[in-house]
Amino acid sequence: MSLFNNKQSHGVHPPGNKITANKKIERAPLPKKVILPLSQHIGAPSKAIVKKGDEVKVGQKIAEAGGFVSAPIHSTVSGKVSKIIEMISSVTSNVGNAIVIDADGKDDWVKLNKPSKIDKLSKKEILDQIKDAGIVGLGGATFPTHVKLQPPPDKKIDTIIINGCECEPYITSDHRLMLEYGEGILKGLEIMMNVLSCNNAYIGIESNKPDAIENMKKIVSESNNSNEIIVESLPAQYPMGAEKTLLKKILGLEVPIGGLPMDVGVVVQNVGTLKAIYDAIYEGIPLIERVVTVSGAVKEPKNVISRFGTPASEIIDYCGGSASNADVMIFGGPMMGIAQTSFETPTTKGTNSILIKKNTKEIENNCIRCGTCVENCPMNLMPLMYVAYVKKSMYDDLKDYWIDNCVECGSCAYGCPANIPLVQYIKVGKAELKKRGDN
Amino acid sequence: MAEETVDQKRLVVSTSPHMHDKKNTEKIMYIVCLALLLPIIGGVYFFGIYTILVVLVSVITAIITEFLAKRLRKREFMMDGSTIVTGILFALVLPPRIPLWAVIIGAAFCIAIVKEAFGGLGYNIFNPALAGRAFITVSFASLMTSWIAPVTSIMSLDSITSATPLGEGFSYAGSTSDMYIELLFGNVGGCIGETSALLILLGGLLLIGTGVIKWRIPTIYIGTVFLLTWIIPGQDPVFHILAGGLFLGAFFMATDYVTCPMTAKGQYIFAFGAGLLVVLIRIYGSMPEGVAFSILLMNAFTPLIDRHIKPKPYGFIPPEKKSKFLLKKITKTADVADNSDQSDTNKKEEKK
Repeated sequence: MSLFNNKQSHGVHPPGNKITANKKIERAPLPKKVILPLSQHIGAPSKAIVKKGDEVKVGQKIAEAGGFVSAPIHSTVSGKVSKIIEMISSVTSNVGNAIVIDADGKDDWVKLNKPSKIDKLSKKEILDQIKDAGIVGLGGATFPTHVKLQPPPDKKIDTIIINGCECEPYITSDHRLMLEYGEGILKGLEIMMNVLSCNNAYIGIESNKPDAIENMKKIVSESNNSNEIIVESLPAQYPMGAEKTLLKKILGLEVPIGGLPMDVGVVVQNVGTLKAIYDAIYEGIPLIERVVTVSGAVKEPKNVISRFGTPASEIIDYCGGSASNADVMIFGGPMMGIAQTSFETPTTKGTNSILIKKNTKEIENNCIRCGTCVENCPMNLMPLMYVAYVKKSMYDDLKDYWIDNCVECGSCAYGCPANIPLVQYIKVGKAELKKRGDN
Repeated sequence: MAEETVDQKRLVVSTSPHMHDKKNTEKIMYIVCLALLLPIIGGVYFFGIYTILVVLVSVITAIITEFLAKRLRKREFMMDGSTIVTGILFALVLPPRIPLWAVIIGAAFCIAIVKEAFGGLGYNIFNPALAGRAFITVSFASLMTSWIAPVTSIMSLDSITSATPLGEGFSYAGSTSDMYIELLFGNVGGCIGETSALLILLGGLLLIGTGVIKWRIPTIYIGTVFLLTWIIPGQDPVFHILAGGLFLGAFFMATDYVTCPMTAKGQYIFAFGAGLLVVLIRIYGSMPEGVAFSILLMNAFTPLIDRHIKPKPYGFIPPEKKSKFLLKKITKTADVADNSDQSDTNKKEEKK
């Protein structure tokens, strides 16, 4: 109860279904063709710097950052730019440009810009290297990492929280990363602590991954650094991996409404991002691939490393194909992931999982005001009120219930006995308010 | 080849989340029905086989009325179980020898007027079963005040008039502890389903155990009645919580999702208010029993409670504290930036 413990927040306990937890990370075959959308992150879309017919190599920058809150994009295969198309984003559903590259199968890499003396790098050099590598938050939100690492001067960061919760069912990509690339994650964390001049860090991992907790504890204790890094075992509760819930659970602090973790002196970063930072600084490799969990109704669920822009069908085929009755493909987890319209949709930087399943949505019934959504909401909101107001088009009243505070984790809709798609109503309400605000 | 079949496949797109808890309205309602079987068994045991007839007639009338009302409102009729719950609950708060025509009128009123006229499941302001009982009480007062003593055999249709424990003519010959036991097991006069506190408690625990209801409302409701009757001189708190319909009301009626507040705080207020009203009606009012009206009155307050009692959202800083928070942040930042131990002076400054 929140009365007695200020670190507690509400949530739900969906079945974990982590069927790929013991599957070693495999490398997927190189794609024959990649489709790289120019908007793979939060913020301004990148600007293409290649044109049709250009020859590109692996790791070659093909799009520049389109602003401060933006990130460059690199080619993930070697080959020829066949066309630049318009496509619907797999994340935001907005229309944007995408670069299509036909792979030549040679996998020729550009000369990597590998820093020689890592210890001697200045903070600016590190940040530039991270920015040039196109690193964004790999937990799913895809916020450009170099921006997160440059908080405004009045926001002093005193704690870093590393998010290894992976509270979404099915997904095991972070779990496997922590088991197989723990050293890289720790090195990435050290770089980050150096950049932020911060010597407190927590690595939060849900207790349903005891092997990952064990491994990270071992790696942290064996490393000889002076920083204080604590590996915390957290209860397995969804959405523990939402940065605001995680922050509250570990530090007992709440981020003010409308604020960011940096408002309370904290930066939250996903373990996958740290691995990407490590690769960029130590190896000079830009962000061109990631671990993707392929799970659900596929023949052989797997954790695969796959290049961005690979059509999902190629990865699914590598995993033995999908079950014939499966008619839903989700990028991300079952709680917050986004259902895709086609098996040909390319993966992007934020795609941590491809989940195949059968549609199980049921008909929406009347709200019985049971209060389950209120009990479940990690942000302590009253989700049912959003449904009532959106149904009546009373959008202005939504603000009285702090709709902007909603993180769309789906705990309300998950538990709703009347099968009301609360997140959908909330998204409609937010979009309508945004439209009004813009005018 | 595999790719071709994949290509042609049409995918279903919908908003997240893409998985769902196993709980649904129908299941919840049938668990409540299951829990209600216990008081029904009690009713049959103490007041004879006729009570089954009352329950059946009430449930069937409720379903037929719902069907007709949905037809009139041009809505789809669905057996979601809520009608059955209303039907059973309505039967359980009737006197054991109520004529069946009154049951039919009451059950039809519950569904047609109290539930469907307001918009159906989820939209009613008052608990349908209790509102139905209130309707029958004011319409046919004599029917609702003729109580019988528990029967000697289940098949018996005896109707020896007897007062309910809360009625004026009630007296108990044995010791107080014997009376408590009789009240607990339910071997006293009263409505069909209200007499056995023990069976209702078991049903209530089943509901709490399966997560259908929360402990808050029953505990605070019964607790308030106990405490208040304990404080008021000349009242017996144990007698007050065991006698009458308090347990049935606390576990099965006050917890009705639709008509009780949604937030924990709101539920505390609701339950306390209902408890207070029970005591006021029982001790100072003209009616012997006040559970039904206490819940109905608090039902009327529910929209008001829900409007004003909202949970404090995550990260909420009240406007007057916001400036303080910012000041703290600034001093904290300055603190770290100076990298010297100035916190003491800062604190002093803050106090000023």
